[in-house]
This record gives sequence, structure tokens and C-alpha cells, in this order.
Amino acid sequence: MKRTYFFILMFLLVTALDILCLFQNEQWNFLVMYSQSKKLVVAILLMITAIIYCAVMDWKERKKPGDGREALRDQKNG
Amino acid sequence: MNLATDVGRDAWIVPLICTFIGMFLFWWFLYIIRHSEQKTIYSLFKQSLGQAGGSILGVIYITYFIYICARDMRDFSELITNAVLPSVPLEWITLCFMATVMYVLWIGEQNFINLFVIFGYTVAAIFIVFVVLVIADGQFDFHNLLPIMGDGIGPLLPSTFTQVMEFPFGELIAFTAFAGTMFPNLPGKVVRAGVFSVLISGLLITLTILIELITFGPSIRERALFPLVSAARNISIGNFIERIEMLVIFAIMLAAIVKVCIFAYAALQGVVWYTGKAYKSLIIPYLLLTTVISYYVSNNMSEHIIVGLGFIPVFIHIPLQFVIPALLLILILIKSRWRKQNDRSIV
Repeated sequence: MKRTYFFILMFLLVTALDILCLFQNEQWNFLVMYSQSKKLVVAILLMITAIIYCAVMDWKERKKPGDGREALRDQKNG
Repeated sequence: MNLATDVGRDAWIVPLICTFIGMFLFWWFLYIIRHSEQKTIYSLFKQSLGQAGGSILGVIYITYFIYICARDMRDFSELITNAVLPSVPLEWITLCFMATVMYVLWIGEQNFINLFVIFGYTVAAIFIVFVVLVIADGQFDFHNLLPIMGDGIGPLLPSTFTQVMEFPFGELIAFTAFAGTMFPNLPGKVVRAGVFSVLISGLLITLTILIELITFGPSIRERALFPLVSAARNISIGNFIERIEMLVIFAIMLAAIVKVCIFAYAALQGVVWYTGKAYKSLIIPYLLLTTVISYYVSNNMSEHIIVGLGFIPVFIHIPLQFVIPALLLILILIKSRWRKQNDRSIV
């Protein structure tokens, strides 16, 4: 699940940076912007798609040993 | 975007100064990678600061690359919404743009480098046509540039060091995330070609601002959201050759694809390095994340410019583009000196 967890961490960090930039410029209306229905629906749909995609890829990988460094690490660990 | 508007008629001098600083910056960024025996800035962080410190700094840089990528995506979407398709929602334009970028990243690095070369020739051709048409149109006035530096060099310095040096020249830091993997050991030829490209790009930016100034003058340029597009819109030769702005928007679109791809690729290289997962399996989720963030970077174009040219260069760009690379360079130099001293003492 490393891919999914890392993705969620990056989502939280980038959102935090975004809010920090708006907040520092005294753009207090960022909460209003975050709650605009059309944007919010699209954003939630895209994020759900991304998280499900990551989870499915992780699940597939768990069923079948993966590629890259994980595979090498598994080989080293015997 | 509208650069160095606060210096009025001298706006073209700022990118010209920054071009030479940018050439040094690019050389410096590649020098760090070249002399660290590492291939990417992420592995360099780990080598310099250890597992925990390196991982934290690496994650900060991935966040930064994704955020800047989202801002660039928003720039392009705003341009299309404002200038070409005012009735199409911004969300749709961003999604279409994201799909293009996703495909470009999906085809692999060698293919997208070849694609960018074609883009480069196309943009150069469009720029030459645009300059010829501006000259043929004849609606320009070189007096808009006079007097040159009438108030001395002092008023140019804030824009130079807190705006244009970071955006776009400091953003070349993204290349440290993958230049070492594309060109192992970064031979001198690669560095020279990169520095020369920065010179050409800087001169193009300078020429673009010069065209905007001689066409409009500083006061109208200051108010325009996309002055180059407005300058192209003004061209009318014999009431027959008109609507040239479509060519300019097409060129900007190609440039936007290149820039977004470079930042997305830099961020993805970091994610690959940390998670060890296949590059292609990360493209879709991270570009979807970039798209979502691009919706929320600002409420409208004017807020987007205020944040992008006010807060971000000073508080985000300067630490990540100059302070951390400078500290890394000092660390690398100290380590190499220690190593030499140890070698001598062993002999």
C-alpha cells in the first residue's frame, strides 16, 4: 500500500501548501472557493479516481511481486 | 504571464539581466549534481543529510514541483478561458490539458524529448512570423522605451531579485531531478547546451517584452492579463491578415505543455525514487492530483497573479531554489575537501 499512502501524503502536503499561499496573501475567501459545488464535485471525483487507481495498482502488485526496488529488496531478503 | 510590470518602460531590462543570472544558476544546479556522484537531487539529499533529513527535504521538493506544475496548468487554462473559449468551464479545459500532458509523459522520456524539439522549432517559426507581422503592421513606437533607465538601476533591482530571477529562471531547479539520469556524469557538452538554451530563452523573453512595450506602452501593458496575446490581437494588415493571436496562443500552449511536463516529470522521478514503484503507474494519480490543485490555486486570474508574483517568489521559490542548493553546494565542497585531506593523510 506504499503507493496509496505516499499519494495521500502528497495530497495533504500540496493542499497544505496551497492553503498556506492563499492564507498568507490574506485571501480569506479560500474556504468559499473550496466549497464551490461544481469545483468540489469534480475535485472529489478526481481524487477518488486517483486513490482507487493507486489502491488497485498496489493490490495487483501484492498479488504478483512488483518491479523496481521492491523486487530487488525482496531478492536481497531472500 | 505579465513580468516586471512595476518597472514600466524598463521592464525589458529585467529579464535581460536575469538571463545572465539564469545561465549561472543553471550551471550551478548542474554543477551540484555533477560533483556529488549522485544522479538526482533526491539521492543527493539522502547522501548529504542522511535517511530522515534527506527524505523530508525530498518530499518537500516533490510537493513544490507538484504545486508549481498545478500553477502552470492554471496559467494555461486561464489563458484559454479568457482569450479563446470564454463559455467553456475552466475545469474542462484543465482536464483536456491534463490528458495531453498525461499522454506526453506516458510515451516515455526519449519520445517526449523528441517531441519538445519539434515544439521548439514550431515555437521559433511562430515567433519569427509574429515579429515579421508586427513590423509589417507598423503600429509600434520606440519612444515608449525612452528614457532607458531614467531613474537609474535601483528601481529594477526588486523585480530582478524577487520576481524574474525566481520565475522563470530559478525554476530550472526542476532539471536537477532528472538531468543526471538522462545524461550520466553530465558531460560538458550537455552543460554548455543547457546554458546556451537558457541564453536563447532569456533573449526571447526580453524580445517579447520589448514587442509588448513598443506596441502598447507601459501603462496598457501593466493592465493587460496576457499582453502578448493582446499585442497579437491588434495586428491587422490590409484588413485581411487578422486574428494572429491564435498563432501566439498555440505557441504558448506548446510551451505550457513542455513546462508542465518538466515539473510533473521532476515530481514523478522523486516519487519513483521514494516508493520504488514503476514510473508509468504513477502518472495518472499524480496528474489528477495536479489538476485538482490547479482548480484551487486561486479564485480568479488576478488573485492567481498576486499570489504567483508576490508571495511565492519570496517565501517559496527563494528558499527552495537558492538557499537549499547553496547549502548543498557548501556541504559538497566541504566533504570533498575532507576526502582529499584523508587521502593525503593515508598516503
